[in-house]
Amino acid sequence: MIHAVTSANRNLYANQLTAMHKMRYHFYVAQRGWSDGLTIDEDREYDEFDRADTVYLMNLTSDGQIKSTFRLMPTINDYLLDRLPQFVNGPIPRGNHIWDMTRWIIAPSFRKVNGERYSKAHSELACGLFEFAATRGITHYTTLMDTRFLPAVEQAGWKYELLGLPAEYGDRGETAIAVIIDAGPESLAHNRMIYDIDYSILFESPPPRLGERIEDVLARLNVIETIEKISDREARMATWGGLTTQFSAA
Amino acid sequence: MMDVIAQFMSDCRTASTYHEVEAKFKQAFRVFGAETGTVSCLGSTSNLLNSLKVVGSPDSEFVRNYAENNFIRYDPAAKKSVSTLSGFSWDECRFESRDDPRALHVLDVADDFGYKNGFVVPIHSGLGNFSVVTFTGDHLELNPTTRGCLHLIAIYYHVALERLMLIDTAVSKPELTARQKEVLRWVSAGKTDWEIGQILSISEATVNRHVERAKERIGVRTRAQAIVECLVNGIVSL
Repeated sequence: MIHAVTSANRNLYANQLTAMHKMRYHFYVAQRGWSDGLTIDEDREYDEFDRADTVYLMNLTSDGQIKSTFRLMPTINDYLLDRLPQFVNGPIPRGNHIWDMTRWIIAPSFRKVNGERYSKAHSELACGLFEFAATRGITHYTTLMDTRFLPAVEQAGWKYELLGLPAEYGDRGETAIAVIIDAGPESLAHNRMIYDIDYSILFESPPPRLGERIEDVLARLNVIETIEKISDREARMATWGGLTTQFSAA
Repeated sequence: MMDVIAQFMSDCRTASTYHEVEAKFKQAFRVFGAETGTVSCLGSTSNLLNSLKVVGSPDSEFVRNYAENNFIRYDPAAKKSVSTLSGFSWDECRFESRDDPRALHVLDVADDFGYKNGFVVPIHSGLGNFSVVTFTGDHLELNPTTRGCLHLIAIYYHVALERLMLIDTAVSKPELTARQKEVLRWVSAGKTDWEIGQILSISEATVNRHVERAKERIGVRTRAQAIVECLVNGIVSL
């Protein structure tokens, strides 16, 4: 299930947030040698965009492990492309309905294995991303991505426009490209279709009651893990929204 | 400049033949000063060094020479393309292999054939395939803008070729009728039933019937799924 971690429910996800900052340290600092503009706290990485209006989408296993994550924020405030205007040919996209995504990570044990079309961790997150757009009235996502992912984005049939040309980033000759992606309901429908996920996958916890943990909130709201407990297709068809009633084969 | 790229993107999405993609490809890279564009080795990464498959290449003496002399074993550009994720120029290769005479020899032979400089773009597709697109030209000026544009042209060319190749693989299986395969190719190029009807001189309803039958045989609910099935694994029996 994809959890939307916002400033209102962040205290439910203290462990996951720590784990995410550690993953980010591992991927961006230890492996790729990033340092510009980052704050390193021991083995955790932070930057100026970890803010109150930032939302983390986290694809979590039922026992709370991170499978994959994205960081999202509205573009009404400064965001990544304001710091890297060389990637944008023209005005930098901005508006309430445009959000930026950064820090896309899939945990190594949940990456694509040979012969698999897509990593499930990714396809679930993609559906969650567009479901989240519907909850906020987001029409577009901007993102600066490594150019090597562009063929995959094209082949997934996402609707997007290029904001500029590929240009170098970092000091290893890698290039990145900025794109703006359609995030309307058609995109959600398209992603559900190509990834064969025909149920709601996003969960946004309300602010917890005193002393509640995430599992308490899920129990109180009677939210049942759709993906992991109900695998067969007909059972999935019986689900409605993120809230499902337990399906029995009888 | 961005217009050329946007037009090429859209051409690649709608092309239904190799010939069409190739013509648009040539048109696009010439805008940026390249004279030839070659895609090699549409396959998985592990195949690269033992199978040089040239698709959509200009028919040249050099390609024959390259194959006959087994240059793939020493070609510094081929070697570099499997170990990097971004575009690079032959000049960079020349510098990096300055102590390797056999590597330099490959570059010298290319030079003799009139390929003065090249820009190489390795592409890892979302479907697990790998290709290397090489642009050459006497007056290829590799500034950041040209590099960026050629990189994008390479990506969309690869994606279009891959789409057509996978449909070919899928449609070469016998379970679908010739008409069903033809109709599916047009569906994959984004044509509506009405448009396909116009192209094939049959009625819209007939087109629809072909698509519906094809979907039944593939076992999917929507036509988009049918195309995705063909595109993504190429093993679905069409």
